[in-house]
Formats: sequence, C-alpha cells, structure tokens
Amino acid sequence: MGGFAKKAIELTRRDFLSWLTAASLSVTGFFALGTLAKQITPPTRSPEGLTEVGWLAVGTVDSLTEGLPKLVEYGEEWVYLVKKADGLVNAINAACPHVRCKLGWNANTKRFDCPCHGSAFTIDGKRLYGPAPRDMFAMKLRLEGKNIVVGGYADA
Amino acid sequence: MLSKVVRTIARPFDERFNLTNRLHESLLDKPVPDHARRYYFCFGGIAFFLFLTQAITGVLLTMYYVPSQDQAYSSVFYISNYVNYGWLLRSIHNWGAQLMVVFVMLHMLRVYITASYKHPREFNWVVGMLLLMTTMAFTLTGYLLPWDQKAYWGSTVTISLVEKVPFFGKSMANIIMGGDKLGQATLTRFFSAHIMVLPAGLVLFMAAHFWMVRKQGISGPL
Repeated sequence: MGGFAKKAIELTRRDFLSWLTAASLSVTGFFALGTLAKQITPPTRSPEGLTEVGWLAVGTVDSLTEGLPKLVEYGEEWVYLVKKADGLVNAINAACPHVRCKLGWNANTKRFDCPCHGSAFTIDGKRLYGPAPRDMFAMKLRLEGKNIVVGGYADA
Repeated sequence: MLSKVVRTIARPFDERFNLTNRLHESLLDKPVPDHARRYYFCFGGIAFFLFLTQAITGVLLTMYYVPSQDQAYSSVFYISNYVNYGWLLRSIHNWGAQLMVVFVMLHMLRVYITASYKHPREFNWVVGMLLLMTTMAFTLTGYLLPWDQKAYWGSTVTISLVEKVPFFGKSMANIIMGGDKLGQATLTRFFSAHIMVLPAGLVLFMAAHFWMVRKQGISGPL
C-alpha cells in the first residue's frame, strides 16, 4: 500500500493537469484527423447515385396484389410496384416530383398522397393536383422469371 | 510525461540548433501578468485560433470547390451533400467565419476599453485595423463563392456601395468586378483574393502584430 500511496503523491497537480490536457487534446486531435482523412477521401456516393445502383431485383410478381402498391427499396430510393388489372406490373418512384418527399398510398381514396405539400397522384402515377409539376417518375423495369428487376428512371 | 517524449524527439535537433533555449527566450518564457489573467484578454488568441480552423477547413474546401459560374453552385451542393462530412466542413468554415468577426471585434473593444492602444503601442493598433479590414475582405469575398442568389445580390449591393465613392468609385468597382458587371471575372477575382491574396496579407499582418506584442510586452494594468 505504501508504495502506491507514495507514487500517487509524487504526481503533482501540474503534472496531473498537463497529463489531462495532453490526453484530451490527443483524443480530440485523433478524431479531428480521422474526420479530415475522411473528408479528403473521394466520396463513393455521387450526384448520379441512381445510375450506380443499376439493375436491382426488388421483389417477385407473386408478392403483389392488384390495386395495392407495394413499397420496395431501390438503392437509396423508394419505389412503388403496382400490379394492374391486365396482370402487367408498373414501377414508379415513390419520391414526389415536387421536393422529393416520400409519397404514401392512401387506401381509402385510392391515390398517392404527399405528406409535405398535399400533392396527389393516381395509382398509375398520374398527377391529380398539388404543387407537384408533373406525374410521378416511372422506373425502368424488366421481368426475370418471377423476379421484378428495376433499373433507374424510365424518362428524364 | 508528454514533455519527455517531445524532449527525446527534439534532442538531436536541439543539440545542433539550440532550439529549446531560443523557443523559451522568444516565445514560451513569458509569464502572463496578473492583471491580464482575465477571459477578456483571450479574445485575440481566440480570433487567431479561429483563423487556424478557417485555414484548415478552407484548404479542404478548395479540394472540391470549382470557381466557375456554371459549376460553383453545384460544387458547393456536392460538398454539402456528397463529400464525407462535407456538411461539417462547410458549417465549420461558415460558423468559424462569423465567430472570427465577432472575436476580432471583441478583441478590438477590449484593447480600446483597457486603453492598450496608447503610447507606445499605436502602431500595433494600426496593424490591428489592417487585420480587421482584411478579415472583413475575407467575409466579403467568401460570401460570393457559393454563387447562389444570396451571394450574387449581396455582392451586387456591396459593389454598388463602392460605385458611390466620389471620382474613383466607377473605376474601383471596375477593378473589383474585373469588368463592368458582376460575372465570371468577379468570381475568379474574389476566389483568388479569398484563397491567395488575403491569407498572405493576414499572415503578414499577424506576424507584425504578434512580434510587436512580444517586443513591447502586454500593456500594464488600468
């Protein structure tokens, strides 16, 4: 016990404080340098993020019900898969063409509603009204057996 | 503890160049007088620290910024939305700039209130004024760089103020804008001033500022 106590006393207030300062500066500096290194690393995301995702299997035809859009993930975006009366499948981007809020399917009124500014669209993505300037964005789509594969914007 | 590590690394250099003694004589061995141990005596140092953060974040921003009419805004958008921690980078540079102006002003007020500008420190007050002007020029030129509506019309207003100067106004505005209207030439000029001319000027004036403080010492108590 004596040795420990003696050693503890030898650490002066000045030593302790400079140790504390050095330690906190080192921790801060470590994270600052880490952030700095991250910042000069070329970003992997790009403004054309969609083209980088490419063709992506997002679901199967069997999982869809007619008249009930299914929300699926496509890269960093959301896409609605819609099965039509003739059995064909539609893929529409879930982002509102106004300021890209995520549209929700309203089962009562049978239309897509925008939670931000109240734009509304039909089940086919046709614009009904609202600040949105155009129809919802259609997505490129192909079938591989039963799999639905989505690949970026159809128009634009 | 830490000083031991530093001393081990520094010893070979110290033996040859006698660095430690010189460092102590010229910089470190300067106890702060009692009357100056107040928080308001720290404003100048804080302004200097903020300048250092501005320099570091500024260098990082130039790695992504494109000073062209067509791409300036989209490159700034890219920094904010796609560069890793780019939003943090821009925020620190923006807030650092605001705070730097605030602390430069507070430092000036402190010097005025404690009457530190009086004989024999008048020249340091003059250099301080140059530093203030340079800082303001930094904020003016930096404001245009994002090239959005706010930047464009803000700079339009500032330059129209310059035009109102009697006799020389028109030609001064012409030189600032690099032509007779705000455009690509202005953006290039402001960018060049913001990252080359002004930093060089600020560092030069700061060196003079600090050298004079060291030479004359901190002013006495009231």
